[in-house]
Amino acid sequence: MDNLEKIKSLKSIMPDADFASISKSVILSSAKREVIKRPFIYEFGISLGVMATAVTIAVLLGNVRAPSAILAVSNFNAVENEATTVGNDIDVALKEIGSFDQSAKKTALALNEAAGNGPAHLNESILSAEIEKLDINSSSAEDVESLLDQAIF
Amino acid sequence: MKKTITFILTLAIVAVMTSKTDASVIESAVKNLDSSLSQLVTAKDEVSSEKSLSPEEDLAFRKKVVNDALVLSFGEIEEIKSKLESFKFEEKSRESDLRKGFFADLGEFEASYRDLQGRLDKETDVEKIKDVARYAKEYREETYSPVITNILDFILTFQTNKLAENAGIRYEKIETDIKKLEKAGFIEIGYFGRQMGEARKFISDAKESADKARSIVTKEDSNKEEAENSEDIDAKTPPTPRELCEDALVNLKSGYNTFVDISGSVKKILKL
Repeated sequence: MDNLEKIKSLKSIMPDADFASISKSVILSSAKREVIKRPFIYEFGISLGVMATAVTIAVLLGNVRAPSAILAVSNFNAVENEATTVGNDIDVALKEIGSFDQSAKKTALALNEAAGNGPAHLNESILSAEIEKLDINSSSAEDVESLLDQAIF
Repeated sequence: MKKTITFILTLAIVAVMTSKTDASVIESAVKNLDSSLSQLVTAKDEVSSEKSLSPEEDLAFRKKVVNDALVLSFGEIEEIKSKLESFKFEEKSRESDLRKGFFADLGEFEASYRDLQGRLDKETDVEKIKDVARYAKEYREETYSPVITNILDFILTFQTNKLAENAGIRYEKIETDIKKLEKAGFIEIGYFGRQMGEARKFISDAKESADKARSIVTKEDSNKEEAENSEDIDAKTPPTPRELCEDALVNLKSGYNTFVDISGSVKKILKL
């Protein structure tokens, strides 16, 4: 038998039945292990991907929404500051007008006193000062004048 | 950048409007006048039939009162001048022309009061001092005060118009912000509709009153009375510029209060 014939005879070689059975089970069990492992890694990879995508979307959305919110909030803070400033401006403007009215009245009263020879014990300033002392709630010059008018007329 | 400039300008305007220097000059002049008047009337009151005020005391007390009244007037003139100077008007505008006229008036008042002060210093006769006092009182009532009232109306009207204009700008900014927040889903569409409507009404009413005041104070003298009457033909007494400005300012305050309410709600919604 030449070598060729020897090789051809190997075509019909068969494994031992036990060996075949053990080998089959080893192959199958090892394939099974791989199937179990892969999905775990695969799912974990997907989870990471989903998470990363979600984070990216959240960041992107955040980037889109945050500036408008921050801008709006900063404008609303400006509203409060402006409201305080405007309120003060209004109070100051009205107070100034009132103070001119008051100084006009005081000046008229003072000049009248300096120019006059009127009765010393019945003059407006004395009476108004005394009326003011009587009425502890009355502090404004207008109130005093009104009371004074009532006292005189 | 624009906001920063606006903020700085607002601060500058506020600084000018709330200038302590002029206010304290006036306050101190008023206190001095109060004190000298009090000295004079107390001296007169304390005089009994047996004891009369000495001519020297009488002269000194009266002089002091008149002088302090004049010093107060100088303080008023300076304060008004500095306010007028702080306003920016377009050249050759009606406001600019009026301001020039006001400066001329204030210059005349100052010169007249300086003359009176000179006379006062020289006088040694109490009867002459009384004449100066009498003249100063008449001058103030008949010449000075009516013009000062017009100038103060002009100043208040200008300030009110400026504030109304700023409130309008602020309204538009808030409206834009609310739209942004609605678009981004932070608030429901129309959530602030009612409050914004109220704010709009307050501001438009303020602008209307401020405009009316401006049309009165900027009219030519010959047409001023006609303008005042035509503004409110059915009313017995038409509102004065000051009353119109006061109405406008009250509305502006309410408008800003509404803005602050909206701002508070927005912060609450955004949990800030």
